[in-house]
Amino acid sequence: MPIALGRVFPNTIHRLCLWHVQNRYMPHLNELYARFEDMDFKTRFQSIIHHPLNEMEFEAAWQMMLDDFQLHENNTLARLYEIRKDWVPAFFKGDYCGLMVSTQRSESMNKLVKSAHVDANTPLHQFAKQMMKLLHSRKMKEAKEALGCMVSEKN
Amino acid sequence: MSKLLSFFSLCKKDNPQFFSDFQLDKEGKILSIFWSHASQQAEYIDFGDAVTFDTTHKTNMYDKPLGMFVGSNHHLQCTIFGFALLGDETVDTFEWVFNTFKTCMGCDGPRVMLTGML
Repeated sequence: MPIALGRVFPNTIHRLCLWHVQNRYMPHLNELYARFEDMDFKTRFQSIIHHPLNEMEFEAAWQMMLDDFQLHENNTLARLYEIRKDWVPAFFKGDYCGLMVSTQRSESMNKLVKSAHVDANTPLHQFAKQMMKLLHSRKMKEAKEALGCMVSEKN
Repeated sequence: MSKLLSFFSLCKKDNPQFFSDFQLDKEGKILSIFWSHASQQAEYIDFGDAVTFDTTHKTNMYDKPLGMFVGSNHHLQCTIFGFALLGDETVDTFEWVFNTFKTCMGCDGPRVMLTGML
């Protein structure tokens, strides 16, 4: 998919899902979390990923973490660092992402689709009809929000 | 399949902006399907800067994974720009679906695209 993306959308920034990246290295990360449990490595690591507001801040915090935990030789962290510009939020502060850092929105739509009365036995035309129904129900939800905004503006 | 086509032509009659396209294999059999309703294309114009794309399985009896182009609207709700049922998950197929999306929306592509594939 990344290859196809690059070919078709050369001007689009391709951002990797925060969750998928960590999940890929989860066994290794879990090992680190366990090894440095008393030093609370997990909280430190998570905060470095999520909180820095710019690249410099992230770089400094990351280096400090490697120093404090003596993890300069760690392969997992090295790999995560290598691809940092593709997934760490600090590198996307200048790009509008609609408050998204992961494919969570896709996942929640996936769940909605599966709850919208389709399953592995749904014929195609039925599927397309159900999807249109789903769109209508999304539109109704949006209209409800919009109405809520108008009413609260008046008050 | 004919039922799907008649549903699509009904949508098209309802609103000519309705868009659908098919990817065919060498024998002319349908491999992948993409469609987007007029309202979805309108939302892409408004909220298409950031898009996530991801596939999910087991939503239909043809074993075609479903790929959705999803964004977020001004109420921070999820909104869907287009549906794709994919014949497989090869580079060719993804290229087809992205190209079709581009044609449908008549644009260069979103500013940011979020995916789960490393």
